[in-house]
Amino acid sequence: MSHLIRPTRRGFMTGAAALAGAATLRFPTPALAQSDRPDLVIAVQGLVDNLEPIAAISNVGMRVVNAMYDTLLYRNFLANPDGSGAVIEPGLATGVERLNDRTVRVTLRDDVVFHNSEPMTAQDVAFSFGYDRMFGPEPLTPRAAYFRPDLAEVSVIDDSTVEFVTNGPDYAMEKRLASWIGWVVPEGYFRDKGLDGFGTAPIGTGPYKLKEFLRGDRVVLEANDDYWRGRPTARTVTFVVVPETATRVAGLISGEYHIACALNPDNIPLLQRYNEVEGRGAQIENTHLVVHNQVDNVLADKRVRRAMHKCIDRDALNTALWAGLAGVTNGFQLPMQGEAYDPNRAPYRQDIEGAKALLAEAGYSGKPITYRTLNDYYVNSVAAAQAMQQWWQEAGLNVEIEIKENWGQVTGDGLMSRNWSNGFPLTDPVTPLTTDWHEGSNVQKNYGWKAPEEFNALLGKIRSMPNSPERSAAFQRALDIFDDEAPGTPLYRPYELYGIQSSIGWSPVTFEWMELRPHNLAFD
Amino acid sequence: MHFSIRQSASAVRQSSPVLVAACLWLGLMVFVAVFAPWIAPYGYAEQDLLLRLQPPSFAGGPPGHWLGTDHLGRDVFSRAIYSIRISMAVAFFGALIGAVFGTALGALAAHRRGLVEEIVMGLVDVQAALPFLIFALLVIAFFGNELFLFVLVVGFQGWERYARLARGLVLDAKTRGYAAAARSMGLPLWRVYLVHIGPNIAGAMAVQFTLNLPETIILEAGLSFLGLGIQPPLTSLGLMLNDSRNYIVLHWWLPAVPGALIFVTALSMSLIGDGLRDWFDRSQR
Repeated sequence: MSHLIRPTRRGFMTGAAALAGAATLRFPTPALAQSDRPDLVIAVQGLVDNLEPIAAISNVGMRVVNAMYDTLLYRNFLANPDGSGAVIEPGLATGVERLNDRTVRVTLRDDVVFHNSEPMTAQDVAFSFGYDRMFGPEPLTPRAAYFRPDLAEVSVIDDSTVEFVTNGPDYAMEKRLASWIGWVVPEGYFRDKGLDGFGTAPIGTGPYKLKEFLRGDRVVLEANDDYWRGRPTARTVTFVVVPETATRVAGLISGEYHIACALNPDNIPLLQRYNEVEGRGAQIENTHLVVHNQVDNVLADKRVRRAMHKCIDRDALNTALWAGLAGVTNGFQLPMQGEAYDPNRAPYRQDIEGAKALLAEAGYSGKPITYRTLNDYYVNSVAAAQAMQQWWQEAGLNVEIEIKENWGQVTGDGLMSRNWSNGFPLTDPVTPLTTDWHEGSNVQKNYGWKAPEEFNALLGKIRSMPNSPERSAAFQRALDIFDDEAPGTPLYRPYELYGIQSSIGWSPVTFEWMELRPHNLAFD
Repeated sequence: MHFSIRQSASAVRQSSPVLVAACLWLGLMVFVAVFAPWIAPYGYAEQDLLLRLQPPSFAGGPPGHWLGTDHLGRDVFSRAIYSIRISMAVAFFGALIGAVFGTALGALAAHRRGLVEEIVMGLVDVQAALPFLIFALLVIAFFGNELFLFVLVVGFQGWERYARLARGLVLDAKTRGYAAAARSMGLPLWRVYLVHIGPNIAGAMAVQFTLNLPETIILEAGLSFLGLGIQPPLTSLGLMLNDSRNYIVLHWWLPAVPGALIFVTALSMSLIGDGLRDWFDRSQR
């Protein structure tokens, strides 16, 4: 059983089509032309401390990572005009061939160089996904354990071929190689620097390379003129931290920033007042969640967790806080998960009386439950917390909101409930269930969730089966258990709203990153 | 020096209409603070998500929400009422803590002299040299944010001024005959300080207290605005301002209401403090 992915031109933006052909030609890069290109400034709500591409997985990390690195295969979000495309196209690999249910082979481009001018080799690719970095007992990137496929071996077949073998069947491998674990890093440089060293002075193959990194303040990238997909269209890209939404909007309107990320739908009427700026956005493949740490507290009783879950009126949150632009899901699933998605699954309904009954049954005595959140990290997080708190109170749940300064304080001592988000990066049921809620996940390992055996067995099935009615049934059954156990509960699909100078040609995609490659960034 | 109602009343009568207005305003604020739950038509956390960001009823908003609603559909008028209560309480008790603590330390320094005085006055200098906001940030970052701790932190502001003032006044009082007389009659120390020296320095301390109050109001507002003060769902004037950040341009009533309340209240307190000082200076003469 094998198939070869070929580039699909369908839906490509015109510029991109030209660039795909031009990739091998290489643009000449006259020194004078440097100044034609603008310096792009993007105001963001936060930055990660480590730009190693897997360590950086988060709502604020991926947009920088995607500008600096490439994935082996490329998910072309822009194949759909609304940025939701799921077409897998060649990336650093020109093709992918499936040998059997456990084995996938990729053929590599031979014209890719890293930012330090070293050519990208098969060894670099094997290292990026390999035993030492990703799946050994002490991986150089420990965080890979949460996101990686169940790899058994990654080996170099020849100079342009790398083979991936998983322990069990893995039909999502191609999607994984196009996802947020699919970045390729240079082996020698990475080993030299180690995780933290690399994260401070990272090197990738992407359109922009690091120029300056001031933790918590800004990341400045400059064009990588040798980029294999063509010459980047901005001279530099600066991600500057502006924690306040209102300040990001003000800076956008004043012209200080070209793009302002993570705006609130309440900002739209203001943006509409100015001709020079506009709002662009998309519902992203992500849900905001409430997640519970159940160790030694009242949340160990699933009836209390379910009561919290039942109190939430997601439609009201969407209508009021998101101007109806967010997505209310029916269960912990999204349509782009494909065949296993059940459009007829019953939506979540607010049921305060049901919550009261559960609490009475559990003998909940009004013991305080703390709910932690950062201020503006997730758009609308504090407003949603306050709205939920009212509903919880109505049901008799004594929830106290704690607004924290940083993630260390949120996840530190005394954690009970908090907000969180899960990405759905694979257009497949494997994420986020088998990555964020599985046996080795933080929630099961550290937050004391004792998942039923059946749940973990179902995750194994979902992970290892090809799409089939049986897999869909396993997925739906796992979702039933998830809702019954309520180790956490999804709120809504957030609407990622960008404010942008109207003259800039750029489209958002349905994921928590930005596409800044030449085919999606044009200046007048 | 005699305090009497008649004298105070005449002092108010002689003073400018501005001072009268300030007194009336502050009186109103105290009244609102005390009777907040009876005045406010809604609870401070009571939401109506479908009726959010409504302008005040006089500006075309729905009736029943005189000052409009905020981003969670909470009644701005009711929140303002409760915010006055919380902010006034934090400011008052905060200032009181500073006054009691500072005065006690100042009196102790004046009484003991020597090393104790050196240490106390050293601390006073440190406190005076320390940017207070940084100190407040540090304490809250280390010990977390509890209402009680927050009041303590607010109370810490300005204690050094009371300490300095109290030390000077007590030193002065000790040279006066009445203190020496009381002491030589064999009265216990606490009686000398509380019954004899205390009332004699109370006027000056009261002036200092009134002058300090507006600063504590603004400090509460500042810290809450920075997210370090009062935590939701509780409300305060600073927190209301904080909530309104995102809405300044299109929903003017959200910042305007708490902003105006902070401004007018702090100004009134300041004016009253000045008036009290002037009156006190005159009566000293």
